Amino acid sequence: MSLSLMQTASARLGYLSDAQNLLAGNLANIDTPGYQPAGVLPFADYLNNTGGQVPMLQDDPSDLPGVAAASPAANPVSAAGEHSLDGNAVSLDQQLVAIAKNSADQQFTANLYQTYMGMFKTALGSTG
Amino acid sequence: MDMTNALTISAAGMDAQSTRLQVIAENLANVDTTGTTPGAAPYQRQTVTFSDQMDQATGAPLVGVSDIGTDPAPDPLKYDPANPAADKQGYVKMPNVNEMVEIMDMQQAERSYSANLSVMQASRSMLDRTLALLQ
Repeated sequence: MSLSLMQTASARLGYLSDAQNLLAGNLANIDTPGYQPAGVLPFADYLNNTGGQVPMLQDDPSDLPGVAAASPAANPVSAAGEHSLDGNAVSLDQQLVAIAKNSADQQFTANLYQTYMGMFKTALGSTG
Repeated sequence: MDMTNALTISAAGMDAQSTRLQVIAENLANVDTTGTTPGAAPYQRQTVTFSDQMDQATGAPLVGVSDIGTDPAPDPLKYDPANPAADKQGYVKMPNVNEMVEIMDMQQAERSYSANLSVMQASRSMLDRTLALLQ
């Protein structure tokens, strides 16, 4: 059994968590004049930024040597939705849809991870 | 990578919206507050301005109230000679508070507040699911 699925799932969970922070920031600033919402980088690009192979991330200088964490906020996208008079470009519906999708993706990944862990446990249990 | 950041950001948004609601409540409560001497200035409508603030520790894009100012719009005049604040012609300066504008603002604040609240709920259930992986 390869561990790459575990690595991918854990990278995906980290990515979704970063994306959630980003979307929460966009929604908190829904009434800030002139605020431009940040867009979420696609997961594939997020993986490419970190070298394709899901390397170990180095969030802190005291961590083991690894790649610096790529933020999903790398590409600020101007939303094609509504623009209010004060120049704020955050669209409530678009952001809420993105958050709902993010949450569903996270549930999927967490379930997948759990299922895989269950398979591992079964395999380990059969030997002993 | 910290999931609790999302909760902090949403809390900052809810905090800003409740300050806004407080200012609206002040404006609505003082919708009839005139001066006490002839020709005196009435209550001035308060306005609230938000700005995005970067949290130095976490780098999270928080929101905060940057300024609570006063509305420079002229005060409407009302003919009421019996009022102690009436000038020689019998006109009283009324506060520049428009109830319709305030109520609309209030609904918008409420909508933004509940949007932040639902993000917080979504973030919490994501956090719960991540923690459930330990079981």
